[in-house]
Amino acid sequence: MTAIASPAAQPNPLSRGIRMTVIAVVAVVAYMLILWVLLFGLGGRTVANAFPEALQQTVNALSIGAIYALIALGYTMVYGIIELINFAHGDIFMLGAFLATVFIAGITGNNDAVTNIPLLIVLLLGALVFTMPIIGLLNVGIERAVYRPLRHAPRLAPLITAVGVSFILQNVALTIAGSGDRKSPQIFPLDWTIPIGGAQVSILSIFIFVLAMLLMLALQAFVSRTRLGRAMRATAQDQEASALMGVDANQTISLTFLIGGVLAAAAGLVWGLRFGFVRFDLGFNSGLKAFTAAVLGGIGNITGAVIGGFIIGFIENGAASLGYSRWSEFLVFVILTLVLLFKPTGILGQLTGDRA
Amino acid sequence: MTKIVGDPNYIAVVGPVNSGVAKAQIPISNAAGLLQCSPSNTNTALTVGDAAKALRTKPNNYIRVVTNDAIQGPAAAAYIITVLKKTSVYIIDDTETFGKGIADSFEAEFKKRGGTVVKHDAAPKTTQDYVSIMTAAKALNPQSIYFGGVTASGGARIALAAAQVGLDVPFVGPDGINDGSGDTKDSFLNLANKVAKNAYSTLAGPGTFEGKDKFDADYKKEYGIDATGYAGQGYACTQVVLDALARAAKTNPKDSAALREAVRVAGTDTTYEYTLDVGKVKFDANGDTSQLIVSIYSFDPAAAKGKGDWKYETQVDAAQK
Repeated sequence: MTAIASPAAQPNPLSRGIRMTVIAVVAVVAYMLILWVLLFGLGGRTVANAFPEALQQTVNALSIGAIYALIALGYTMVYGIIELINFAHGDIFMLGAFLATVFIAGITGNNDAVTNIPLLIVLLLGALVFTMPIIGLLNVGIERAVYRPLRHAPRLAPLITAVGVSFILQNVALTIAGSGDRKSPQIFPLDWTIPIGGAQVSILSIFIFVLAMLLMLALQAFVSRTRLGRAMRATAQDQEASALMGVDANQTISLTFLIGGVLAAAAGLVWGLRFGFVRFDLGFNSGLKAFTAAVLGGIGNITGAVIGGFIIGFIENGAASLGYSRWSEFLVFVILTLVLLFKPTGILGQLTGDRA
Repeated sequence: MTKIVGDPNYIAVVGPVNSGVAKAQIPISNAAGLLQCSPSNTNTALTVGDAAKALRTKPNNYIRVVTNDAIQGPAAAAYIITVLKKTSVYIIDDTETFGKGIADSFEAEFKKRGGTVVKHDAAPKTTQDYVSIMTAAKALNPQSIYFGGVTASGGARIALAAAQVGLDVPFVGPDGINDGSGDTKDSFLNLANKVAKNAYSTLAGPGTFEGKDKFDADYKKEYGIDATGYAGQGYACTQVVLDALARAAKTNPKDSAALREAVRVAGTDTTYEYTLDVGKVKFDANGDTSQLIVSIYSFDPAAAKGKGDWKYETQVDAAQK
């Protein structure tokens, strides 16, 4: 059985949190320094020019990594609790991106940047409040309608069904929105940047990172400190035993899908803000990368999914920084393969019985 | 295409639009001896070289009224250096047949003319994070960007990302981004409208020809949408097919198979000079047109009722070098 990571079970959660933070900060700084060296070593930059560029790219990596991490959480939580690889999750993210786009474009009526700060905040909060419940409930509905009847079916049945649901969602988006890119309003003014160390760090990057971090911390607190969170961990550990102890398995599983959908919706919103477009097959690639992130971190493990998401973001960014964009996907999957070869459980995962 | 060649009622095909599709279709239509006239395929390997020979098992059946990327890419390079007066460029292609092909021919010409290529990167259309790529591009301080590809494979996304990182230099692309006004769904200008003020595109054919205004007006009246991109070339292909059919009919073919072959022979006749809407044209033994004209377009934000459209700037005629 796979357990959703349970930091509360650790002897001292606070010191563990501090240790993780220190490791993360050291890793990010190390990435930046390595990139700096590589940029003037291989990329032909001067030492002085390479530093702000490395800093800028590190910020970019944190942004895309945060998006992957938010999506990866949905994969890992669902796997943790019912051992299903929910292939439709990437498309849930795609629908979140569309819904956020529709909401913001519907209110502003154009693609202009919003320089009025209170209005910007209202728009962002509104988009979150609007998309999160809808996408979350959609995810719950899919589980209720499609996965629950198959819960005790052979492992392959829900897996193939998840692939089917993915196609259905993609084609719904294709039918409604068409096959091309759709504009997504970039409401953050492009010139809102903070100069740090010669780089221009955009407020949008900071917003993306902070939003993702807040959501992840909230999730961690929810899973480790609340009654419902405890029910989730119990169900993940042993569904039957927890049911005997009075935990409502159906309710807990629905809750897991709800949270996964909510996080994917937030990822969808920030995707549109950052890249300015959405399209019907967005979920396929993003989903694949996020799924890779979840496996890399140790599927079923919440902290692992976050770490995996950032690692994928950093790998992609590293390839792009050094001018090897065409190799970024190759690198991502080579590293995944290597991790699976030498540590099949992923970075933080635990050994499980069988995987679907 | 297999369905079409199997039906004796088809005597010729106008199309396809994309080079990648042509690559798949030519072997089938060639084996069946069915005349194909493309209004917009520009990939060089469809007509020239061993790759083109490999597509054909029988005498040539494929002609096109636009010139190829070996002419289109270099024309953009010439324009950037001589008219825009930019001496360095950052090139990014979409790794596909068309995009990589034209980016390579652009790069060769740009270097030949003494320009500096700061980097030739490539990003497949599945790329997620164009912002990181453009951050790297900006650090190289290019005076211009050349994109090899089409809107659907990332043209507009790259332009948006370039704007996001503050890389404000001319953005030049091939016919793949010259796909309609800001009012046209899915077009480059529709998606990248806000950041396109410095965008240029090329078309591998004359951007203007005698009677173009009347053609545009008639087109709008008939179909209710503006004539964009290669509409004139589509009409030219139809003229080619009808002309070939008229000449084929004079040979009194005995059945539909003989008629199809007669149309192919008439259509690919290298000595015949066609009088088309885009001008007087001959086709060589490879199927390429004698008209080596590439048109350059810039972005006009006021056109198409404020939605923005491509504005014809000038044309480069490689035949008059």
